[in-house]
Amino acid sequence: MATAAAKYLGIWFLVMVIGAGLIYFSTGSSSTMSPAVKAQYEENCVGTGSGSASGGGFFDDNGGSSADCYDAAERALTVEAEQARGNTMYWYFLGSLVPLALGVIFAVQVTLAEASAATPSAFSGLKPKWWLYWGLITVGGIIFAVLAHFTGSFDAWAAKMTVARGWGIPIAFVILSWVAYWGGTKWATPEKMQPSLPL
Amino acid sequence: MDIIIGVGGTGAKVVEAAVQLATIGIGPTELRVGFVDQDKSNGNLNRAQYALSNYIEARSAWRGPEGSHKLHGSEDCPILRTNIETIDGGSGLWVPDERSGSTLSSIFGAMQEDNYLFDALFETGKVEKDEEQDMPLDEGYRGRPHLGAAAISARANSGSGFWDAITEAIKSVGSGSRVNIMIAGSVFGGTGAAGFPTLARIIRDRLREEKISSNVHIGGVLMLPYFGFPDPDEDENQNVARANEQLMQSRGALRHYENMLSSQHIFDQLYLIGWSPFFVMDYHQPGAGDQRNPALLPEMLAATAVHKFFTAPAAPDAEGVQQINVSARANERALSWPDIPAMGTNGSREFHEKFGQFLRFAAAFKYWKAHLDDDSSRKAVHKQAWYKAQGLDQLDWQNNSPSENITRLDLVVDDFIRWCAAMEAYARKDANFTFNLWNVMGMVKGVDFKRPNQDAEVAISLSDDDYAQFFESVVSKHGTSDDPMPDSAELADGLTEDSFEDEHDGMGSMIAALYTYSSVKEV
Repeated sequence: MATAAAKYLGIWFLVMVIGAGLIYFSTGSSSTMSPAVKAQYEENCVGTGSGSASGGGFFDDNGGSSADCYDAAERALTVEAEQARGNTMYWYFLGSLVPLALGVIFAVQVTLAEASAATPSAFSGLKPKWWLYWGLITVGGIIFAVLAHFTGSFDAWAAKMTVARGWGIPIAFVILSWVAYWGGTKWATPEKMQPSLPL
Repeated sequence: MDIIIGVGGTGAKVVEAAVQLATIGIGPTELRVGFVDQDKSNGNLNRAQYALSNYIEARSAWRGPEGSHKLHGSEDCPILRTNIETIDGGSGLWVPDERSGSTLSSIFGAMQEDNYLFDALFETGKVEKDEEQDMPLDEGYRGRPHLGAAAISARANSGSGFWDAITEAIKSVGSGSRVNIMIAGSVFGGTGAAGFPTLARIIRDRLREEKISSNVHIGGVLMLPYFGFPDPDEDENQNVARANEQLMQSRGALRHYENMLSSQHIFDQLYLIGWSPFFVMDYHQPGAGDQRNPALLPEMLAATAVHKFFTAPAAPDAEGVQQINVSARANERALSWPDIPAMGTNGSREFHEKFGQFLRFAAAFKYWKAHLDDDSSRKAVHKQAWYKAQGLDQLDWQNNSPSENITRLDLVVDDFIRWCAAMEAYARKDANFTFNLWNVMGMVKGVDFKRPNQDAEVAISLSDDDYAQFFESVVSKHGTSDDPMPDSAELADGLTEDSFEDEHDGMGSMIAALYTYSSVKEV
């Protein structure tokens, strides 16, 4: 039983770490933020500091030029992007506990069933449970996507990012969860009980 | 060479029992089978011949030279290992006088001055129930062994494939080989009581004629009364073997044997097997096809005696040395595995292991073969690990299907289950008797005590629940303190993880796996 759980944990960890790496290195820069957020930081720079020392123009209260304003906005946006990445990783970590828990539960159940399974129907007897947990993982992924977009639970990081990342990351997360769940249960399930898994 | 000859209906049942033991791997390497019966439509004889035919065909399918689904050797799967053939290459049956309407008078023909002696020895001309000289012999000797002895002795030299084979076997010892001839019959009834000592004496006489004094051993399994039936009604055929006369006849016969064996060396080993209390049959038939009594436990004991005779070290060849063995058990009201006669150095455990393993295999076979019966069944399981581990995905199910082999094996498995079911049913019929050997009744449709000449019907296949239940309960442990037997889940593990593809061909691999993991001990 412990061996089965450990096998699942190993596959889950491997998949999720790879996924985490992909997400981490594809976020955290100002270019990952949505145009609306970018605009919010840059709107103060419009019409300020546009003059020059020789020709006149407009300067901000501190005497900085618009270039300085945009630089400052860029820096602030970058900070915002890094915070969003942090929230994303935190979101990703919590969300990945769902396939972890359900996968370990399945690994334990299939190992226990293996001890008494004596017939072909018993070998495939846990297939409904596998699909149930798969469904729960999918539903969990959808719920976490909603949380990321429309609530302040994770500082609505998904809403702040570009559309591609705002939806792409949750979708990738669900797919990674499926891969971790299928791969982990495949390795953790005893040979005799493999008919309980799809594919 | 090992030869067994069943004399009469009971002798045929002993032969059938020997064939059933051969099915499970208990038997010599080669065995020749013969039958002696004046009543060739005798139901017991016919059933024995049916079992023999099924065995021969199944063995040919699984161990013969043709085909690609084979069992090899006997190390991990000894079933059907004995090569059994009929003694004459045909039916194996010798009918002393095959002429229709044969009578003792027609056998001896006109006797001139010997007619007075004939009249003195054999009854005639009075009431029908006492008629002997002109009694039709088509349905046997009807409990009159003196008729049978005379008829058999008169016809033994008339030339037949049966006697030619025996003579040839006797002569083969000249090349250094050993011949064991086992004669099985009953001390009651007609044909067996007549033929048993007569055949043995004829064979012993032929040995003397051929001047053979070693390497030919004659054994006998003599069944004492072990079943009873009610006397026929007054308006029925009175010329039948009566139960209340059996004991008297048997007593007289045993006295005759005592005198005979004390003065002549006929048998090298003689096994006497009886039973108390009697098994009760609820009907009685004079002969022909309806004289088809169910299998009973003493016949199984007789088969263990046959096996012991064929495989035990040779008895001393000195003239006059005869071993006489009598069956017994510890408790008259119970039968357990330790009561079964030992076959080797392991006491009765070896018998329990082989018998129990085959019964468990029978349950497993009935269950697992259903998953291979047709395309749709196979399609449902063809991706499962056990299917691939047993090499079933490599078989050409269209052009080289093992279906015929499976059918042949199914027939012998059914024969074995029916045989066990009959013995069990009649043992348990006595409420005061405890039967501690096996429990196969769940796999048959029930034994009808009112129609004992009808064989029980065996289930075609088993459901998941039935299989798990029967596999684990079909045979009792040898000793109450023995470890539990492996369950069906462990068999499934074995099918998934182990393969016998290197030892057996095609479907033989899975059959060997099923058999191996049906062991009563941990594998």
